[in-house]
Amino acid sequence: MIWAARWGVVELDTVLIKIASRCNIDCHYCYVYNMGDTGWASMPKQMSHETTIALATALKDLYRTQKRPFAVVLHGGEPLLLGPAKLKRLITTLHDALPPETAFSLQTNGILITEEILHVCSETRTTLSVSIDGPRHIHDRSRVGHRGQGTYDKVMQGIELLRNHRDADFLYSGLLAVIDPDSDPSEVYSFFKTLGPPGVDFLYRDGNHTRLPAGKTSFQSTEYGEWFVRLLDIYLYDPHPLRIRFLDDLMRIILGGTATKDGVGLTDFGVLIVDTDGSIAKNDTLKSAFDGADRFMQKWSVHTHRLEEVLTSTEFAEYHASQRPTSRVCHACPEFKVCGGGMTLHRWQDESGFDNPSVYCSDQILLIRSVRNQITALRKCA
Amino acid sequence: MIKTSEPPGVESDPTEKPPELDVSKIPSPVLARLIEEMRNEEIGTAHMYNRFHNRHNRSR
Repeated sequence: MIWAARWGVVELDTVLIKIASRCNIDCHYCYVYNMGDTGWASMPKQMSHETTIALATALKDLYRTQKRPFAVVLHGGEPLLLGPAKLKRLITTLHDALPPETAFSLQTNGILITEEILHVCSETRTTLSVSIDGPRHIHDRSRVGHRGQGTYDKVMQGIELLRNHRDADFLYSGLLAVIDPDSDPSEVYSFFKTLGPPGVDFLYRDGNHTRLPAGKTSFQSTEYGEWFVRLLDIYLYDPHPLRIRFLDDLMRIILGGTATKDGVGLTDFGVLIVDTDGSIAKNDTLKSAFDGADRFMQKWSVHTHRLEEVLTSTEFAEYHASQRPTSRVCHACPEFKVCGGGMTLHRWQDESGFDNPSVYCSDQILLIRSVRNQITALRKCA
Repeated sequence: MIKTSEPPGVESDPTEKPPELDVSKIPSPVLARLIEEMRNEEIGTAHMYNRFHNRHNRSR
């Protein structure tokens, strides 16, 4: 959600902290570096201890007001560029300011995972999710180093360390994959099962109506939808399935529940992004729309503003409300409640802004219909 | 404004409520698990699902 009537503020679910603004690899599709936004170049390479202290103070202050825990996600760039000592100090500083039930997690490309890093994460109760797109020939198409070299071997080394750690049951939170619509979903799914994650999340590639996502030939085309439908058919009948969050969320909504992530359904999420300099930004994926799309007009910073001031502002409320699609096409669609208009960044068009259905509209419709029909058929068996 | 074509027909009503099911007879482990999880949430035993940012996969 949440427009919290009690306080008249947007309630925070997640604070996503950019602890490093640079990355040790150069994925072709990256929305931070390779889709036109240049914000990263003017940011400090890493969050300083002074900024971490200011952030911890701001979050502690917000928790006192909100009285509801929020998740802390460490992000980048590549967050493990901090190295174990700085990472430990940063997490400990934040932990000390927040209630013990606060969930800490970290999204990494996996290359810099070491025993020392895992020890820090175990000590600080911080889980790790690793980005990997599939087996080598799929992963290395896009997830490459700064000289264009594949990263598969190094990522796999990191995953092996993570899986073999004595605290792996806690630490290993899952895998995150960007879809290559030319790949075979059966091959990708089987590969991920061999890595033993508790779950996998699949992401559409970033793109919009003006700059179509790679592999999508037109607004009406359904390459990604067809890929997901093939995955769904495998997933539903696998006797020992992984958890696939995106498909689970679609099924949950169709069954009358709610989603756990943005991009499907009509649940709003209170997400705050903090950059390495302590400035407050919008959802960072908006960078893929145009240069600076993730910046507020107000120059908020944890060094100079209380977060309550941010969350009660008109500008933040307008940004928060922008999760909901405005397009008349969406509002007239029978699958509106399930699809939710997709992710905001996918609605962008240079001429009309965000007032459009998702560029993945046709894919979503195809997939949702397939999920619905599968559920209907399976229900008849019970 | 971008216009989309009319979506094809569906075989079920989008607002239809699921009837009571014998989960053990559902030939899909995934669907059986989801239905069971949702039942547990309804009775308040597992409502603390985690919210998370879309770029992060936090499975628990």
